[in-house]
Amino acid sequence: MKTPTLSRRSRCAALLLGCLLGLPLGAMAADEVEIGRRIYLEGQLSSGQPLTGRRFDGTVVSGRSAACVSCHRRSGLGSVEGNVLVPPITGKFLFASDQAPLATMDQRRRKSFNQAHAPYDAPAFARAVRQGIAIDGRTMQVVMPHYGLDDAELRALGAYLRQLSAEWSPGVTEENIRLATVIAPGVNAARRQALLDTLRSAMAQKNGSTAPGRRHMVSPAEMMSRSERNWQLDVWELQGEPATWAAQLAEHYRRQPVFALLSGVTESTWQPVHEFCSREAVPCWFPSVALPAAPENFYNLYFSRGVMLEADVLAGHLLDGAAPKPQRLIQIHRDNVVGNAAARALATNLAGRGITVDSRPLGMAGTLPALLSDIGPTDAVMFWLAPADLPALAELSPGNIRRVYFSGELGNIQESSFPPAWKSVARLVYPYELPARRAANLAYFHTWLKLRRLPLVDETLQSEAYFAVSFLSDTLAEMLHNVHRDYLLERAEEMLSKREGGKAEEEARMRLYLGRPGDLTRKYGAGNRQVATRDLPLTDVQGPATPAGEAPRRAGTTVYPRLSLAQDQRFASKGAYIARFDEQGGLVADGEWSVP
Amino acid sequence: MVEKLAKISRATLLGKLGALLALATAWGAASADDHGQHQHFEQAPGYVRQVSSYQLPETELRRSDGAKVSFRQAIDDGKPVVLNFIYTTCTAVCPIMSQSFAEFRQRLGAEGEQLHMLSISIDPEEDTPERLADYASRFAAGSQWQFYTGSGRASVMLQKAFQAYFGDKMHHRPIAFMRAAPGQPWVRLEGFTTPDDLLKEYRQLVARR
Repeated sequence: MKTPTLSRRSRCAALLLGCLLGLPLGAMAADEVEIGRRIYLEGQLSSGQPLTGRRFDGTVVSGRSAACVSCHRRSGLGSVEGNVLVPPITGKFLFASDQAPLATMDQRRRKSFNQAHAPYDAPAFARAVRQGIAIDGRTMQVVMPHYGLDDAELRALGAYLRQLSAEWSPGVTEENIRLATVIAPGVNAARRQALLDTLRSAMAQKNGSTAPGRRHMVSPAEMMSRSERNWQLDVWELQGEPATWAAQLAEHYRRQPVFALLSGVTESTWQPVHEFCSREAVPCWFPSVALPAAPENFYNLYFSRGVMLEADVLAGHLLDGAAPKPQRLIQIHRDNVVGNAAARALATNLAGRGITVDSRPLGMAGTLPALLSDIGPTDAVMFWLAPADLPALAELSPGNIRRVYFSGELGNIQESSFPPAWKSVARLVYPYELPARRAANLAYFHTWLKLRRLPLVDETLQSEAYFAVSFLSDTLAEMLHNVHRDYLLERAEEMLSKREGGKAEEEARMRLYLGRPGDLTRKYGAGNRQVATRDLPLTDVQGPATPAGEAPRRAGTTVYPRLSLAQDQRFASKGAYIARFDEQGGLVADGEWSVP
Repeated sequence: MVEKLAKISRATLLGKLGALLALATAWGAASADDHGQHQHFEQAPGYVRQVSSYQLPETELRRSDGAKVSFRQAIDDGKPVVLNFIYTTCTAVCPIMSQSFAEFRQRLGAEGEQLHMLSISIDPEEDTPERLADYASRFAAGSQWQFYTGSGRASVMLQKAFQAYFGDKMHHRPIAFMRAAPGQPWVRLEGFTTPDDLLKEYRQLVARR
């Protein structure tokens, strides 16, 4: 916006003059698009005044809460909330006579496409915005405010809508979607391989189920619109210092743009990848990272806040008065990006709260026995340790130490391999579902690993990667031809918790068949089995009546108890347990799932 | 620029004006073909009123000021109660309900001094007391209008008790509940209620008390 202070009349004059002077129409159009953008996204008029709208009940909304984006979303492709359907309003859906590209709006109503309507012309568009009357004469839903936009503002808004989500995002063609996964340097070779095998296998299966001739594996909506696409996966292996990653990412992207970054793993920082995704507006789809980067951004989706979440949960636990406050908290952490960030977060949370915090980097300040030598019964210890540090601990006995906490995220702690001598004093800050219930959530995933003949190397990492592919597949299936990055994220926000509930039930039913008469894997062998990685209509799977207890209702399909997003929510799992080992050596919760 | 202007022939000028006119006509050209069928599960203005008795469970909630409170104590404080379910990152439905609540309270004026309004989060893991406090300030909610969160289980239990559980926060619907006093039945208003609707219903309710 070049001339925000000009009056409307002088703006019109300027436009006309520009035209007379032979300025390219494109320049003026760009200016219009910018005015439209500010109305749509920011709720601000070109005069600098806030956009105002009148609701059905006479109340007035203005500024950001009146902006189109809050309901129609960044993509312009609308949303569904309860029984309120917010229709798509991009140029394609409003002004075009060919409205072939369909949008499904609601998972529960698979055939709820937007329906064809006569193209909106300027007067019809004005009626819609100013009076809430659709082109067919019906009154729009009550959630649509009536806006007092003038003709120039309407034209600008129209210009913005025409270019909004007009082209597929980079990395997308008629037939293919290109994705990349980012692997940071320093990731253990076995974990790296397990991640890649899981991703490739899940993708091969997804591609297999959408290959021509196997159309039965796509959803009816996809089949109708022929929107299913083949996926290609690039592996972006970063090298050297994090300071050089931005350039490496930019170079990968320049050579071969991708639609989204899928999964990914790091043992240290993720900051440069996060920033790349923010900068290039590339979705960064559920990487396996212990320390999510900041600040939160629309394009970066994470499983949880990782060690930052653990620091919050532990601080809450130490301060909530349920157990006597320790006098001192000694944190033992590795001197690396993640360890330092975790220790700093916990120290900040406890500052001035009556507990002295003493942070001791492992190696730098000494070996474990030295670091633990002065700890007494009124102290508590927090171990921000990696799995490789645990054997050293197994050689020590807790001695005087009465309260010890371990990071569940960093320690990747298993019931079987945890040092037995420490079990009775140990508490885990545990951001996952407890093993007993997690086994039910992941039963389908483990069967899948066996069918694909993949070894189990790291349950958390591999199941996260499997989820990333499966949820991306489900979300893209719902998007049909609207393969836009913003829409992907919006659909993910809307779908995640609903999908997790439905998916868990579906998987429970599917598993009843595996290994039984009628199970295709028995007849054809595991290698050929194609399992849809997306929702099947629930009614299509009529299994034998499930005996109570055989397939318990589960809340999710991942290592987390439940995943959920919404607009502006970027961390799908939001809490952690404080867990301990019971007498049989199994992990049990010490209190409720805690959300800081 | 002057030179450039001088070079533009009359014909070019007219041509440009013509293009502008053509554009304008294109905009104005009404394609009157208006036989498109719209599917819409529409939310028409108006609401459905129902009088119900709910078995309300006891559970612990957290208020937006951080205090842990008993739900039954909060709701059975002897005052008339107006209640709804919301979540703070909700885009289409909740802001309208909340604005309507806010205007209702404002228009009620001194009449509403005995009123207790409650909004309970259906996304309690995200809606920390701090977030709820922010949300409350967006609607200038005073001390009579309290916002509550709690465990996921507590929130679902309450939604179920009010027969307002739809399986997922994304499926929620606009419903307002009112009760004149503890032990009295609840008035359930399902749909988008205007501040005037709420006023009318509330006055009826307390008049009968």
